[in-house]
Amino acid sequence: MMAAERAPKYRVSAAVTWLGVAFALALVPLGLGLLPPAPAARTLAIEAGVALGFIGMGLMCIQFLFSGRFAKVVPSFGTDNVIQLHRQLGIVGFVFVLLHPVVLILAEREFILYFDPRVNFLRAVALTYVTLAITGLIVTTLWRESFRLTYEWWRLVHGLLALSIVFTGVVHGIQVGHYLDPLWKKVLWAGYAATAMYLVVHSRVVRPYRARKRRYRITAVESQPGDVTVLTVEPEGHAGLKYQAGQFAWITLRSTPFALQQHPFSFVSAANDRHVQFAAKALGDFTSTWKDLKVGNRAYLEGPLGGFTRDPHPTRGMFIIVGGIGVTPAISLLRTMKKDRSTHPAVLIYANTDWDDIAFRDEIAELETQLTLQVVHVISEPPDGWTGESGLLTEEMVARYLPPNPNTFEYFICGPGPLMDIAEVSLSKLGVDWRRVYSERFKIV
Amino acid sequence: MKPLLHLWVRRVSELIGLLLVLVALLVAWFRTRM
Repeated sequence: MMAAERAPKYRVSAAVTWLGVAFALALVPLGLGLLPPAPAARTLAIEAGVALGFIGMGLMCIQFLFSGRFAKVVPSFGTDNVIQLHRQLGIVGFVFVLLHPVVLILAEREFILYFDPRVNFLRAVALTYVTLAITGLIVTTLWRESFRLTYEWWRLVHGLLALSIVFTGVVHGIQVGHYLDPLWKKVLWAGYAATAMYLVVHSRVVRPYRARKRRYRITAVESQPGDVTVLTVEPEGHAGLKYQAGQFAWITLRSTPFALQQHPFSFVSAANDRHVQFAAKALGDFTSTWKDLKVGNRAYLEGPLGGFTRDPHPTRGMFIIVGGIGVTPAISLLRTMKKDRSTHPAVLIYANTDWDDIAFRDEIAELETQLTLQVVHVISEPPDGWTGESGLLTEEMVARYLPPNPNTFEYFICGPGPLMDIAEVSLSKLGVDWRRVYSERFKIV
Repeated sequence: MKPLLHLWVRRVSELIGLLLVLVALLVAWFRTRM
């Protein structure tokens, strides 16, 4: 056992604490409604239907916490898990919001009049809108590609729908009154939702505005095999940013930082390197334009973010499984090892389709001679005479390269979804402690 | 097969959802009893 043994980065206690906070925050609107003076109770079903509505509002509001990009919470879970939680809790919130009118209408048919434009036109329109909007929000997120929504438009639509749903919820609560009858309750109700909504405004407007003052300039545009473009940017008149290997930044290129096209990219450069590098494979609308970028073009970075990082004082080896362009954070991790003259062992399993399309292949070969690094290329369509690993990643393959004492290593997984699923499940089956397995999915939606 | 942590996140979310439904029912029940 090493003397400097540290607690794993992912801890059940941290998860319980933060989930407890989220749970409590989701119950704030209900608590507010119940504070005296509370109106006389009606039937059990009506009271339950109303409670579902309050909780639904709370659940919708806490979703904004996830767009706030909290640097404090993410490292104890990893961006990937936080996004998954947002997704799952968002669905739970959706169910609550829809159950609210359903239960009320089932309890008392009269409630259907809330949707009747002849009774109250604006109210009927607003409630019909929320029902459609929240359904649209979920559907466009789960099946973004089927709707041919680009990431930029999805992100805009997602934010606007979310804001408008919560706003309508606030107005609805105030208009119904009942549990929110004294004015102070209405003020607190609106204040709670406004705080949540501000988080979106903060991350989409205030942060980019601050980033505007910290401009970067593209100093090199290079290409790598596999249609990959590597950008180097340098700070213009400021100190740049401090980042760890494996983290990422939101990048805006050429236009202002308010532009729709803000995308998350992993750093490729070694930790804290002033010459900040990013790499992208020409896959989508945004990344296809990278090869046309010119030296001198402007860039804005917002970050660093993400918890795909090593222990700050690493005492462990690194076992990295990446596929395709998922190699970028691995390059940063390995370059940082070299910069720190690290002697810890590292294993890199790197999956690609073609031998000729392997980004950073030459540099990785060089790093293999400079570090205690074992590189394993997995090629799904290998060239003639290939003697290395071929086909898709399998559990047997992972087992072959797993160190004899697997829990003395930290695990990093980044790449396409199916590869990550295989890697994560294999590591778990092979007895690797889940608290040291870090995943970063580059496809958020 | 989905990764373990994703399954856990899903289970935890479902558990939170169930707990919240329980809270809603309990609150409603207490209110009608009061």
